[in-house]
Amino acid sequence: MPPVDPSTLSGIPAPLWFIQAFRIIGFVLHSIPMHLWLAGLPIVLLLYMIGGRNGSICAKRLFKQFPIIMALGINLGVVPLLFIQSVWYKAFYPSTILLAVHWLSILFLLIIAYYGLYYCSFQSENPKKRWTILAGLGTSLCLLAIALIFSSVYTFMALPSAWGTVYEKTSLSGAVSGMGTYWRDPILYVRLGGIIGLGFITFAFWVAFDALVLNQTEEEEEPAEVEQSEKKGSGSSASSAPLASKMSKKEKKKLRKMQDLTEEEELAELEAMEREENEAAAKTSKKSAPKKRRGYQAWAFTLASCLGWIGVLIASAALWYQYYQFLPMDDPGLAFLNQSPWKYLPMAVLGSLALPILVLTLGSWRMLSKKIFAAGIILSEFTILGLFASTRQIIQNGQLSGYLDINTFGIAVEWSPLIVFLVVFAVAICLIWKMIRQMANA
Amino acid sequence: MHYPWWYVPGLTSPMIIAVVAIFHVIVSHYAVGGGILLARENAFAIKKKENNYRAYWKKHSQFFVLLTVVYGAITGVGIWWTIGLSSPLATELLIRTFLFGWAIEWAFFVVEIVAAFAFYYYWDRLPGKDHARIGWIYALAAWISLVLITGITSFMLNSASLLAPPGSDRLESFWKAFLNMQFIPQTIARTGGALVLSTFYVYFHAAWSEKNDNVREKVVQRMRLPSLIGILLMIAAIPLWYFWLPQSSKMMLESAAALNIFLVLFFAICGAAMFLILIGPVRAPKKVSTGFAIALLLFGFAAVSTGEFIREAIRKPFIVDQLVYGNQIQTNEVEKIRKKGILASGYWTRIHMEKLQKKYPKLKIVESITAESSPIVPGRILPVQYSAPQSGAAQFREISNKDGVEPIPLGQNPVFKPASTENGSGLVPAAPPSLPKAANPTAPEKEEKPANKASSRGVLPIDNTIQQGNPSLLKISEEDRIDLGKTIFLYHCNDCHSTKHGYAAVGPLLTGRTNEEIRNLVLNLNRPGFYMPPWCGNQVEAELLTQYLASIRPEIPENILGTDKLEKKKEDPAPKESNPGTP
Repeated sequence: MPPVDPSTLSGIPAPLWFIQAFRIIGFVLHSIPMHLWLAGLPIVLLLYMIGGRNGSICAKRLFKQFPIIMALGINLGVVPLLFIQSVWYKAFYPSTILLAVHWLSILFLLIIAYYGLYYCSFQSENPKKRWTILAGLGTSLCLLAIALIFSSVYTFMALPSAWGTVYEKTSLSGAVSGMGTYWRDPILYVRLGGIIGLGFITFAFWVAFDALVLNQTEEEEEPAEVEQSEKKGSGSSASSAPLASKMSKKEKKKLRKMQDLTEEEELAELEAMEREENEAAAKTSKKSAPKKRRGYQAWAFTLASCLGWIGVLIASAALWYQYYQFLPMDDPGLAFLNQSPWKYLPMAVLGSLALPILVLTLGSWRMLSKKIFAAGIILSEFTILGLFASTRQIIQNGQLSGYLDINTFGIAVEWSPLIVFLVVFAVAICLIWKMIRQMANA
Repeated sequence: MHYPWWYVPGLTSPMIIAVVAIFHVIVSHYAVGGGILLARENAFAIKKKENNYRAYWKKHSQFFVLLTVVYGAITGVGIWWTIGLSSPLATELLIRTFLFGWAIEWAFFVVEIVAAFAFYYYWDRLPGKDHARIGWIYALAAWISLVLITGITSFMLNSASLLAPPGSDRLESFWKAFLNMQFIPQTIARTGGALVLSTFYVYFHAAWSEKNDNVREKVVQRMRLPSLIGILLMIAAIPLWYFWLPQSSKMMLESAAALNIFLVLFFAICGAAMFLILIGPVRAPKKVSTGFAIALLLFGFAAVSTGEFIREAIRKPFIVDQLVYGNQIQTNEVEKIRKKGILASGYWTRIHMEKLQKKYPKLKIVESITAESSPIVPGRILPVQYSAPQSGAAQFREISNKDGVEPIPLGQNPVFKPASTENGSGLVPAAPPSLPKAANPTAPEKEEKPANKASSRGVLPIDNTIQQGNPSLLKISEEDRIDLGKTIFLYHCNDCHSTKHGYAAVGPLLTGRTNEEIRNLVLNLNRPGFYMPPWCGNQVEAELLTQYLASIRPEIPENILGTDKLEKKKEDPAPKESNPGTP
């Protein structure tokens, strides 16, 4: 049987815009959990150690959420990985092979990190915090190392001009040892800084979202503070205890003065006092129970605002430096961007960093309803990450364009598997939404 | 050829795939079968209101999630990592063909993850019916992901389509490739295997963690039916799997001693496991101890491992049946590569030869390569011009040295130019060895049987598409010739063979062979052994490879009788007729 010519399927099985769009969407979805564990875990550890009561509540909640966040993050990372290899394989494979050992070490680091997260999750309620903190620190370091390796590999991937040097250093009779490294390029640390800044923002959003949306039912399950508030005598709106037993010294003195009043005046005075007392009791009862719920919420919003500001500052600095200072004007990626209709994207990315400040500030001032606040968070997050990922994609296309012109690839779209995928994707989203609703109602 | 080859000493880089894959499949099959068992038993316990029994499965679901979601998911991603490192061309082809198959599988993965967490974390919080439904959603999603990945891996073994006649274009459509000859038997076998293996995990977990004897006994009893169903599915599927193997794979099962042993081992292990199921869970469910369960589980792991090894090994010489050889050369590229030679055809091998060109400026080691003459398909990364970088940021980067590469201005086709050869190295090349006489290219191809001599392995005529090659390569020093030979070995042979020591090491296989015999073997690689890829180089490269192989060929062991009577030929005798192509 004669060999089949595999070049019969030399075309990409989907339009280029589709693949690029899904790569960006996949990256955005993957970024959210990735930011949470990269920037969030160290903060959670800090809160766990020295955060006080509210910090402890926040830390324990997040420790329990992290394994799920990690699972979703790993799963969502498959999408950009798949679509990178569908078009940019000629850049992806050589760069990863040259750095093979470091690239492969991600697996071991990830297994250690993941089990470390589970340990923290199971042991977070243990009063002996030492091992939990150690596990958390180890996990944080592993995740930071993974982030560094990713930053290194993806920077290297877009820089074929650097491959030759690494190849020469690691060549074994023309093959490679896989022991290549690419650490010295400062741009990868700038990129990592940008990711960490964005991570702070994502984590800030999550803390606020969790406190406002996810934590609501949990606060109502804590009767101790409500009982304490009752013991303190702050009064409840339903209290029907006699006024006399609750009268303060001031009120009693006032009453004594009433002895000089006429009967009608005395009655009017008593009614006025009663009205005052009822109003005071009503005010106090309004403040007591919601005050306890808002205690954690208020703290969470304060934390979120601080983290949001820190994130915006770090991300702004890193991204501004990356787009306008570090990359030289003749960098092909930047040149490509500046010649395209997307030349204002870097500015848009930097401008979008104002959104977290706006949303978190309005949220902390209680100027937004819960639904609008949640919608604002989601919209802001996707706007920032979407713009960031799109800019990164265009710059990368430009950096690679001198070596790999993806526009010259043939396209051989097979519509049926593409449609099946979209249908399955839609069904999957519906199923997931249904399961989440069931969990929310449970 | 198309990508740099990752050399892993002793093991070979494709074996890294095997190691990671084995660690993955022993858990991933549990992720599927265990999901089905969890859904079934949870639904049963809810229906029968057996709270103690359900409580056990809650414990089991924690074990399940910790193992499958964490370890199983990461090792699955690990396979992605390793196939891109060790088998990039095959991966490229598979992704092009099955992009949306993988995308669909991913969608089901997301459903799996969410369902798994909902199932575990909301065990006591969801109403029974909803909880049971989520369990079944997980089970279905997991099974569908098994079906999807099986379609892809089975294509690698037999790419002929169920939907098309033999010989037709198997890459014509996603569906033709997905619904290949091995799809149905492998899907059935894997489903059966997943069920059986999962029951082993359950036996182990129940024996180890469940203190209530009644509950433990009930668990073991209820696992008998799924075990039996799994065994029956595998018994039904394995003959179909064999029947629909490509002919070469069937022959390999018979001819390769190692595979004979693995096959016997596989059936022996399966038989032993079935015997243990009979004497344990079936006849004495109360007596399934932790040790017994561990033994059963280890048998399960061994069966899966040997089965997967057999499935991978019988695919030789292909990595993707009929399309890509194990050495990352496409089947339709062989003649093209033979015309230019292996060293000149590969981008990364050319870079290596570029270094040699600097050392021997008076020799024509490597030709100027243009985009048009390169066998690499346009649209892929083309060779780039070497020169010092000039951009500002580059001064901080690794490329800030004379070996750096300058990016090509936008819109220009890059042209490869060798480095300056003005300064001669002054080296005097050693006298090159002579080449064997090539077959007359104009004569019609004859099928020649090997010479029938007891002491001879036969001399086969050289395929007439194998070119003479660049004679300049034989004028370089012996050390450099051996180094080039090693380059050829790494790119042509190292996917399956280690060098001197290690996995399937070639060195010991050459013991006692003369250089002439080695050269003949190289030039006729796939004739005596159909499971070998064809020789893709030219005659000069065959000579270079021969010299390298001769350098790693060990001496015949002293304890082998009669060695003192064997003539040890360290150098080839000069041929009687001079080869006109040799300087």
